Amino acid sequence: MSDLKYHSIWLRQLALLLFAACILFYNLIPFSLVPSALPMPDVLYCIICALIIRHPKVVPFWLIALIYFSFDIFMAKPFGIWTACVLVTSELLRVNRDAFLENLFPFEWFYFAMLLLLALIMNLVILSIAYVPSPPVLNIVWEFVFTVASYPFVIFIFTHFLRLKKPVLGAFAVKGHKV
Amino acid sequence: MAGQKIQDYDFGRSIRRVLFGLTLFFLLLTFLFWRIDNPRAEQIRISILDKVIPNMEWAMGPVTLISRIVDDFQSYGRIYEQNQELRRELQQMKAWREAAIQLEQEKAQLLDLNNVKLPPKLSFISGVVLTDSGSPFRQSALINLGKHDGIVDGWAAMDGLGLLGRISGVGENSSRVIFLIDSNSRIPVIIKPSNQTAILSGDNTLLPVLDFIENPNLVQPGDRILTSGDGGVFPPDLLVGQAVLTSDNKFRTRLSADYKRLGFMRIIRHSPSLSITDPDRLIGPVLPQEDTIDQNQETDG
Repeated sequence: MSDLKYHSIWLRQLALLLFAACILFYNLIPFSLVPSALPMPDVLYCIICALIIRHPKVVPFWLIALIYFSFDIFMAKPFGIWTACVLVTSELLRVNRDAFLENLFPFEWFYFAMLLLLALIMNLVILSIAYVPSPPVLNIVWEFVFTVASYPFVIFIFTHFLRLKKPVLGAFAVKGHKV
Repeated sequence: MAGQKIQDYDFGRSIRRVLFGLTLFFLLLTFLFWRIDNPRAEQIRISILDKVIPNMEWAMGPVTLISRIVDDFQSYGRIYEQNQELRRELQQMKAWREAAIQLEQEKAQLLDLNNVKLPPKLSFISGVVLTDSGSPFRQSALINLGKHDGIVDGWAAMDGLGLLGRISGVGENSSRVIFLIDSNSRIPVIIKPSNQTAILSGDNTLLPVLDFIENPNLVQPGDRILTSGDGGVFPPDLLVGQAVLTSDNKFRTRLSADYKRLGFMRIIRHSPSLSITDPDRLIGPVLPQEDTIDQNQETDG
């Protein structure tokens, strides 16, 4: 590993941390204290999944754990459980990463949706086992729909503005993630 | 050489696996800790927030201000209609004010006639909203008052008019206010004029539900809802809102407090009044302890 490349990984991790801080910041600012009818998409989850497929070294598991655990603390969520769900699903993606390098975008998108669904259901199940009052299911469904819908946009920004592409196995893959 | 490298690689991978497992274990442990010893876990959370959030005020302030200015600009579009509306409302308010003053005087006279002792006036302390909860499923805010300002868990938070919520979690310089609309909020209320008691329970909507009404037939939409003071956490007779009847035939509350433009809130200082424990405490002043002992001795002798 050359020195320069090591450097760029650190820079990207720093950028990711900054972006996560911005998201946290945005969520905490008291724009309006009225309960919003529709939840925001979890853009960070999209970014982390996209990065795991493209540059897994940028998002090691400890960074994911750090970001999501601080979210848990600051956003008045139960400690640790959503972080654990995200960690497990991101690890599933990392293990199966090779499958996406030569596959079309719709397959990746579908897999992403399944992972998110798994994480949300795992979270719900554990919360209900521990008798923690969980948020209304309808809100979770909307969060799922919005997050899945925002995944193509994240990929679009990644490939066209940040020029982060999958490690190319063939031209096929590059064509694959045009949205 | 190549074999060495592969070995290193495997070694690194197994270390990573162990670390990953440990992280997961740690996360589940913190969840268990949070679940089992919730007050302590929340205390830890609030002390972390207490360290971080007040340091970010320099950044939060301007952004909030800009967003409010944008909101204000949007409302300029309807300024003429708003002006008309306000004039109409002002006219009505004048009539109400007149009525209120007359009633106030009448009440003062009646109280004077009856020689009634009123509970002590409530005093309040005002604070600024620092952050909201950050999660769409939790309705709360962090304010810049804490132990340092004498804030105590359970005190009521109001805007100028109506009840907003209660203090839950106090840090050194900040504390969390759980709103009435949060799904964990349960407040004992009384519905006027029928004097029915109920529990106001939040459900993440702007119209919290009125549960356990004694006799719903006596409640009309538009009835005023006040805190009842039952349980001794809240002072009685703080304005909460008005009853509304929704299409599913449930009574809900339209809150008087305006959550939309909440910058400041008032925390009501309230110490629960002395409870009456012995029956003889009810009548007459409390006798000094020594005198009663002397009397007892005299009677014995």
